[in-house]
Amino acid sequence: MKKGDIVIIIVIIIIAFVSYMAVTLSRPAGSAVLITVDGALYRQFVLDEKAEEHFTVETEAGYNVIEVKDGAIAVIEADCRDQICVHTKAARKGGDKIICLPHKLIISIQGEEDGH
Amino acid sequence: MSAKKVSRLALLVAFALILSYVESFLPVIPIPGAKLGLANIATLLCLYLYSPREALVLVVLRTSLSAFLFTGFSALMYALAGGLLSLAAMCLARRIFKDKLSIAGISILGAVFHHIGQMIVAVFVLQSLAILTILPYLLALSLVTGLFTSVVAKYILRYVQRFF
Repeated sequence: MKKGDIVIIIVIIIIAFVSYMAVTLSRPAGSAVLITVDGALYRQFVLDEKAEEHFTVETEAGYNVIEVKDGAIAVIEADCRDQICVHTKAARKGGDKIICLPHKLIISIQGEEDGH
Repeated sequence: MSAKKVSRLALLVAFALILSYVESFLPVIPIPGAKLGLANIATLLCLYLYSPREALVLVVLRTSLSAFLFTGFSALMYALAGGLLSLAAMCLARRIFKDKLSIAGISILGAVFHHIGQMIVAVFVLQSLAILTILPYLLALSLVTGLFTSVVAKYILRYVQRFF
């Protein structure tokens, strides 16, 4: 191992760190959230790190209370029979989905960086 | 090219193919495009025993043969882009820095540019820059894999040099 090797290693560590920071910092700009009810678009918005909001989706089958907080979206209350949507953990990354089958409600986060 | 050289190069290609085959048994690293890059040991050997010209022959042969035998042609583009860019980077670094870099630094640069080459192809294939977000992980991984392959290549060189 020579001095030049150490320099190369340090330079690569710095580039890796800087690009990691760039990737993490650019993420809050947001993934798009798509909410559909029975296949039809209900609402579409950008999931922002700072956004905080509660809203209720009313469908013919019932209601789902949705919470947006800390860059994630979750169903916190619903009158569906299985309560699976309430128990599904908050969606935050591209590819994450929350599905309430009884109400035909799908919340999905768009983006190609599917959680690996 | 003498018959002796042709046969030695063929030996190196065969060695590279065995390494690719062995690598296919190793557990998959859960990052798209991430590889240990064992076959780069053969490229390093070729580069240090001969010259960039022979190494170029080796890279083209081993990537196309490995695609033909194991991975299929969809993987050829990635392997070829990674292999050629990696070889170019290693040759350039050797020419520019000469004695300031040991085989470790050259091998790390090779690993880094192999991943960058694959990534460039991925950006064109997927028509999306989203894949670039894994670059920092690949860079960090390249340090480890590059160092590992250089250690192996260094020990092999020590024994093999007198036969070549």
